[in-house]
Amino acid sequence: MRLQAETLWLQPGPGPLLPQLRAELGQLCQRRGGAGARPLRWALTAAEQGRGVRIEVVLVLEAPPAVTASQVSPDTAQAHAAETLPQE
Amino acid sequence: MMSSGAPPLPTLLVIPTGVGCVVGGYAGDGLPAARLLAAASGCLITHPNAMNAASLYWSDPRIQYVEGWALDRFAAGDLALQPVAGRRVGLLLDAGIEQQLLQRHLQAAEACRASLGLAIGPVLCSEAPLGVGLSLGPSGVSWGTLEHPDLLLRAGERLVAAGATAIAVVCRFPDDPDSEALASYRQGSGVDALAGAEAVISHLLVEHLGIPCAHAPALAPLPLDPALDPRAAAEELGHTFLPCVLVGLSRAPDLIPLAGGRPSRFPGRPAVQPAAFAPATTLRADSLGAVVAPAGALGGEAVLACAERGVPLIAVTGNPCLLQVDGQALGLPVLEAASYAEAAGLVLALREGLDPACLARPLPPLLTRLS
Repeated sequence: MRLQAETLWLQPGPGPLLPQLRAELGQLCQRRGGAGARPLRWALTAAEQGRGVRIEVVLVLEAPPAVTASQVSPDTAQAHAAETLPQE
Repeated sequence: MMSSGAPPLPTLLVIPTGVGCVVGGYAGDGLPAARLLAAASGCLITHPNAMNAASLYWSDPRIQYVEGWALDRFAAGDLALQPVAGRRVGLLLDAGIEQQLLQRHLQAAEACRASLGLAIGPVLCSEAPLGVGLSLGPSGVSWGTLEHPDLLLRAGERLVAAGATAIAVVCRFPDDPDSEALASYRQGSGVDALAGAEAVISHLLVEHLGIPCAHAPALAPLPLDPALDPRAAAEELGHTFLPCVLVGLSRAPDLIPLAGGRPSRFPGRPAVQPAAFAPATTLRADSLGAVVAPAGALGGEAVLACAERGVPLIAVTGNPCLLQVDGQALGLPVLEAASYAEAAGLVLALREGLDPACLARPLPPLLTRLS
């Protein structure tokens, strides 16, 4: 098990925000760690007119290998940026 | 002034950790606001960041002390809370704590047994140092991580097997007495750099074990700072930050997974049908009557879950922080309060069945023109 901090932006669609955030975090977990990966702690830390909302999250990953942000293409049209936070 | 003949109005108080809130962003300086809101509501659910003041604490049967991960799950309807009369708090100590500092923590626990009568124990150390790391996110909020989360969870499992029904965990945090960030924090203008890692540690344990857990950092004593801000002063009183955690956990409610909510990973704890509860004693998300949060920090799971269910959201503009994630930015309707005193007034109004809009002037007519 290991922990990984991430940040990403989401341009929300119409309707309640929370289900969209959960879906986006679920997809991020799939990309980063697959089964067993999950968000441990997250919050919206910015909301901007053009970019949507910024999510900062700490993930729990069961699988040891790290996948860098540059290897990942966000697989939804709504996620338009994803980057790995500086390592502690 | 705050006594009410009306039934309690379960109210959620959220003061996010590590985002530089001017109220509650320091050493338990959200506690007066929590006490006031508990009096106004008759039932307040809040988290350790709002309550923990190192050697200082306040125990109030109207306040339910719920760790942040569980608080989010409660607000989202995944967990119910069952108040308890008391519980046995196991003490989990990071093997990275030096012998003398370890002894100080054991003595703090002994003091809580001898002077407060708390049920504490067993006590154990992790198999190896847990390796706390501190960092800041892009927004400047404090984050952190743990090098060996598996060792933390294994130690937690051993405590539960030995009879603990809650866990106070103490990890050795990096000392950085000369840092500018620490100086700013002590003088009342910075972010609590430890808070993010503390949240990660307690979230891991609660998510894994399904019992109340909270964290106190172990740190070397700091040199005297004559310019110390009063809000940070509670952390300068003693050798540990542990007493408030032990007191808070000693009456923290049980966490009960609900059928129909997101599945929990709690060992040996089947989800319970919500209808199985007696509403007089068990707290559920659908019994919440208000949520109170800093106006610029509305982007956490607990607040969003409540707001999207239509729970009145009281946004305290008098508690600015690093973030500007407010009701307007998120499209959420809010009741604005300039201070926690005003927020308590709004909670009392809701408890008494008063429409808060009737308390403001001008009071628009129901119909501006007849059609």
